[in-house]
Amino acid sequence: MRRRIRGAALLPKRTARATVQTLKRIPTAGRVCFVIAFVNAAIWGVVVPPFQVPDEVVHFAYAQYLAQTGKPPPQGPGAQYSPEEEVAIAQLQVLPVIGHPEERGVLTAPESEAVHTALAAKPEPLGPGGSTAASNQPPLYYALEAIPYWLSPSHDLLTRLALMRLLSALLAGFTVLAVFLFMRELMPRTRWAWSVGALVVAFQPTFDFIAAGVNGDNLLFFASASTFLALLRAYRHGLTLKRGVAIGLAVAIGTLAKLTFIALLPGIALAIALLAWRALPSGRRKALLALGTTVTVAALPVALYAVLNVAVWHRGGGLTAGGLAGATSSNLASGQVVTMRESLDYIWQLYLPRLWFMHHAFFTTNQLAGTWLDGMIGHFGWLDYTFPVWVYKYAEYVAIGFVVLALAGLFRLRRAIRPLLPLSVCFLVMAVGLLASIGYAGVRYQLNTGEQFAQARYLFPLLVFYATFIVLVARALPRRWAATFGALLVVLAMAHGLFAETLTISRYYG
Amino acid sequence: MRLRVALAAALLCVIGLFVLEMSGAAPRSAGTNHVPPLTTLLTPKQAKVCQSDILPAGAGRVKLLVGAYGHRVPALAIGFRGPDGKLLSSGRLPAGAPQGFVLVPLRHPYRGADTSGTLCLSVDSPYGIGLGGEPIAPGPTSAQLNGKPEPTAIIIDYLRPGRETWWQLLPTLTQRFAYGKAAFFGTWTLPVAALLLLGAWIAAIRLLWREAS
Repeated sequence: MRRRIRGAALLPKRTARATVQTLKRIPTAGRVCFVIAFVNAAIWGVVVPPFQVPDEVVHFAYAQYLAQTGKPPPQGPGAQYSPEEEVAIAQLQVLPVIGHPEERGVLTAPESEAVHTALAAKPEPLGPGGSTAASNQPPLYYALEAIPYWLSPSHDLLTRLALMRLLSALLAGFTVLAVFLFMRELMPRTRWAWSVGALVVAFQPTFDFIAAGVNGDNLLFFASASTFLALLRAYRHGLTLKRGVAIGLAVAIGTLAKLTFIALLPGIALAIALLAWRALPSGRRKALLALGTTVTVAALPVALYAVLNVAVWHRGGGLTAGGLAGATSSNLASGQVVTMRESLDYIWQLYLPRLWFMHHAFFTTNQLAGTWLDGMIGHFGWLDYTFPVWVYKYAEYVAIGFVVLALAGLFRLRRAIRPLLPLSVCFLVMAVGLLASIGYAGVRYQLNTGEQFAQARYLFPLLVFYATFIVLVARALPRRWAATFGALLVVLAMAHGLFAETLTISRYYG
Repeated sequence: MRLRVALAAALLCVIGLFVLEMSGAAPRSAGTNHVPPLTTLLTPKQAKVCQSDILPAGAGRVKLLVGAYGHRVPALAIGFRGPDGKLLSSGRLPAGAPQGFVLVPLRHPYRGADTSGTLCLSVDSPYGIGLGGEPIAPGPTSAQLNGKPEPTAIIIDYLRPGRETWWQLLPTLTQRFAYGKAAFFGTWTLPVAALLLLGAWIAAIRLLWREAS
């Protein structure tokens, strides 16, 4: 008994030691990429004024409610924001600035003093937790954000927000580290590819814009990248108990981070089945144990959340708290039914040109360029300012060139990639699941509101493929040129990030 | 060697583009009262429209949205008085500008600190004009037409004089960067952010150099 108690007491020490050992195993380059990504995202967090990151107002509201009460918002019909946040939004001129690129926020000292004076009057930090676009989401990201919220040396909303933004930057750093490790597993003999893949993500300005603010997407991106990494690692080295735990943890974090992650689950399930099947020759019992552990670690926290949701927080809807039902319901607010054919047409047209037999025309422009490529180049703020039009025009030519080069790179690496084909199919199912879910929710949103739904950031759970794509572009060149070309692509990404930052400074402060 | 030359050339290109971007001159904002163009305040032929506002440091021109209904915009005179009634700045637009957004140049760019006060616009024309603004409850923050509160706030934007490059605006940007943020941010924030970014760039280039060579 005494030995057991001593063992339990030593557990944190052992865990800390194991963590340090794990960190030491990460190559220095990976740690450097992590720091670069964190610093870059933290800079973005200072550049973008409070609440100008898309949906930051609602994500902050959720985190504040959770920090104040210890539970997620009830999603009632009451006010969405706390009185304190309402004051901040009004004084910071958040609403006049959103959607008006010619408008600036707080530009003068008296306006800034007015913000601080209004917040110093200590308006109530707890609101009724009324329904918002974020309040149906699971609470993990917001629970994490409650830590800097309470660690803040000042109870001032703006200080808290600044520290909460740092957590998002930290998650961006971890996402980039996961991408680095993914590239290492994917191309173990090509060292430069690890850093090139990670750094193009670290300097991607749309990714950084989201990492600049309080937004649940940041945990989703990290969990998705970690899931791809854990699956690839288990595929390369075999499914063991430890790797099963890693997969399960990544999946649990993703599912509790944002409902979007559910779209990846069919592909993940397929991948886990594949991993278990490949582990069978080394012992049926061992394989089943690893499989069981993976599923249990993934499912247990999610099941616990579902029970808490219904039984303790009384939010209803189990895991989804009504959010999934809202996004996937066949009926629109008007009572009109969205048919499966309509949904399929929309999903197709969201990524590819409309075909002759499709009755429904949802878009007047090519979405592949207009939404996805242009969005990756940069639709910043609340999608209210962009680079000059010519940038997007030339970026299309560059993108076409990159696609051709990436295909050439893929062809060059066909032998190295062949063993990964079975897992690639699972990854493809994950990707298609995500694309389909964006379209499925998008058609309902568009028919309900008349506004377009999709944004480039919705694809960022697939950031590991973005990194892979850029490395494939570089690999199109002969081996002796590939590393140099890869380095140049990173410089291009850095320049892209730099000019996006100067654009952002001119938008809000110029 | 090949990598070194390629990286150096690419970085030179980026630095060149950055310098070019920073050297682009354009009219720059000095401040705004955040009023959107949602309604119109109609004035009689002789009118004095006053509204409380902040005169921002460096203001050289006042931008107003004026409708003249088929005519040219008449002569407009503006004066900005501080809380003690002292005239801080004034300006005049001669008659003849086309309707829409008009720029009223101030006699001298305002060199003082951002100051709260009242802006008054005098119109003396053979016809009434419309001033763009938004509907609000009549009161101390709404426009006062000939001394009477109106249910409108008019758009008042301030531009700095002439055209400026981003280099010229840098000192102002460092100040603005701290506004509307946590109290611990200050004029140091923008320079420190720039240095950190430079550090991240150097680290990235060093890493690429080490890993790719």
